[in-house]
Formats: sequence, structure tokens, C-alpha cells
Amino acid sequence: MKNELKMPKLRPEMERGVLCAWLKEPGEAYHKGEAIFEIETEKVVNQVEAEQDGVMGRQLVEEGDEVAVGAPIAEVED
Amino acid sequence: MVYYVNNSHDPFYNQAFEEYLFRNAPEEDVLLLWRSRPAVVCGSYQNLFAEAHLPTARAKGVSIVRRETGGGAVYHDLGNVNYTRICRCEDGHADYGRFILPVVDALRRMGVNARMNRTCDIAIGDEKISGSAQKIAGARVLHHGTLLYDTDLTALRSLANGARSHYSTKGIASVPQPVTNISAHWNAGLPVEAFEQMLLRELTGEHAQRAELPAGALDEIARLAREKYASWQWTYGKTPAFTFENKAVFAGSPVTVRYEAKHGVILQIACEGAPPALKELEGKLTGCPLDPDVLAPLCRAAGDEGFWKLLF
Repeated sequence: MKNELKMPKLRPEMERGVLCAWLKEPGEAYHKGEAIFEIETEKVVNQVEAEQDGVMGRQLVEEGDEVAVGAPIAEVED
Repeated sequence: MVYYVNNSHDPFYNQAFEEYLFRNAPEEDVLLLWRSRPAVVCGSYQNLFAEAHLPTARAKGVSIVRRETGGGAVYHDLGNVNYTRICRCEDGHADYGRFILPVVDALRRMGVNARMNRTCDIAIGDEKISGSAQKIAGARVLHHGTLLYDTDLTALRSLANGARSHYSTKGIASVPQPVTNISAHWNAGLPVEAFEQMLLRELTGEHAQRAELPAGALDEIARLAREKYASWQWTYGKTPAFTFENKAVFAGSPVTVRYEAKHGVILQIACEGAPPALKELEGKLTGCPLDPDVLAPLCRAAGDEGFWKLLF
């Protein structure tokens, strides 16, 4: 089963977030600590950094979509 | 905390100044107060075409600006004082109270009956006097907010001009709230410049430390303003995909304009009820950016001067 990136929980009361921008395209490699996507919640734009090295896979969510915390947003290539 | 001084009223320059400090200021805790000439300032992920009617803004000389933080559209004029805080942010989130409560306290010491309201606002009673938004990147947070001191409160509504109803779009929607000016609730009777200076003193305290920009910073900021914030690409090219429909009258006939756009460029367009000259224009408009500087000459050349306004 492929690894997945999920909508992170950035504050205790956060329930949903908008995926505003993909900073990596499918097929692009990234390192731990590199910003890979941006989300907006409660008017805060957050650049989210990768927790480990990886390669961006199929993106399950389009820019502008709002999803629940914990929902998968992209696959990670092996 | 240190404070920087920016006396520019250019809204594009002011966004660049903030970004420059966010990326480069060596201090851990920074404050900036600033004001802009009339501008509609939209959130990072909004569809700007849906937030402000571009032809109206142009006609009134109001700039349209996309900022880096989230949230909705606000109207800046010289009666609005913006405050910016830039601080370390270790764990990826910074609560709004950390930045809003000191401003509320400062206002109360000045004799303004302010209170924090909802998550991101400051209010007097139930009327909003300040909204705020944030951006978090690279272990730093930029928090900024408006303070309506003596602003034109009806401008945003007239600039929005019912535009939104033409658009079917993703992108963060603005949430209008009842607003009021601080000056209407404060007996001091001071001009906005004096209010700004008083607020600065209250926020920085007795040992206020002013920080200066290094040599070359102003050039860098001006370049960022020109190449990013004032550019069509940043302001409109960053728009999510949308569809547009406008039923209007042109040259005495009812016309329905429908188009699909992505990144601010018309992908396909159809004009129903159009005279033949207008149908020819359809082909020319396909692939065009939604930029009056491109659209107006095209329409004029086809003999349909003014048609470009129906595209917004």
C-alpha cells in the first residue's frame, strides 16, 4: 500500500483545511524539511514541510479543495 | 521587540516591505505600522476577479493587491492603520491571541473601548474595527491586521459591485462583517497620523528600539514590489480555475457572455445574442489574459470598444 500525505492538524481545534497550493508536482522529489504544499485554515496560510524524503505521487486533492484533518491528499511514490 | 519605519503609501511597495522583513529581518520580534492609499487587498488564495470589479476599481484609481496571508478582501485607505508582527514560530502554529491581545490592551490604555472578537478580530461592541491574517513558513510567523481609524466604510461594497454573482469558482470567499471606525468612538479627535504615533508608543513601550534596514534593502524591496506584487502574473495569474457568466446589454442588444478561465487566462468563450462583429472577437479573446491592457485594444480594434468591461 502506498504511503500517503494527509491534511495536517495544525492547531487543537482545527477540523478542516483548504489545500491552496501544491509546491511539488507528481514525480518531483523532495527532502525532509522542504515545503511541499500550502494550506489555509482560519486565514492562516501555512507552508507545510515534508517529514521525510520522498517523491510526490498522485495528488488526490485539487488546489482550492477543502478537506477534513487527516484526510489523504496525495500519494507518495516508493 | 524592535520596530521598523515605512512611510510609503504605495500598496504594492508595502506588501514587498513586509515580505522583505519576513525573509530577512534578523530580529526575533518585529513590529511595523503602515498605511496605504486606496486599495482592495485580497487574501493569498482568493479569486480576485470575483472580489473586486476590475473596471470599477480602475475607473476610481483603486489598486487591487494580492497579499501573502490568507483570508478575505479588505479595503485600505489612508484612514486605516495596518500593524504587522513577525516572530519565531516553532511548532507550525501561532495563536491569534498572542498578537491581537497586545493591540487590544494598547487601544484600551489609549481610551478606546476595544475587545478581541471571534478568532481574528478586534471590535468595539459588535462592530469590527480590525481583521487579521497570518502566514507561517520556515519557523517564522507573519501576523498582520487592519485598524479602521477613519476609513471609507462603504468603498469595499461599491467596488465589489455585485461582481461575485458572475463567478463560479474555488478560492477563499470573503466574509463581510459590520464595521465601524475607531475615531467615531473616541473623544481624542486626533488625525490618523497622531493615532498611529500614539499606538506605536503604546505597543513598543518605554524602551522602544528602532531597527534600520541595511544598505540595498530599499532597492530590493522596490524590485520585489515591481516584479511580484504589481505584476499581473502574481495578482491575477494566481487565480484558480473558474467559469463566468454575465447577462448584459451591449450596443443596444441583450448579450450573454460565458467563459472558462484558468490562471487568469480565457480558455474558451461564447457570446450569445452577439452581432457578427462580436462573434469574430470570440476567437481573438480565446487564450487572452483577463488584463484590460490586452483586452481593451483588441476590442477597440474590432470596433467593439467597451466590450471588455463585460468580461468582469
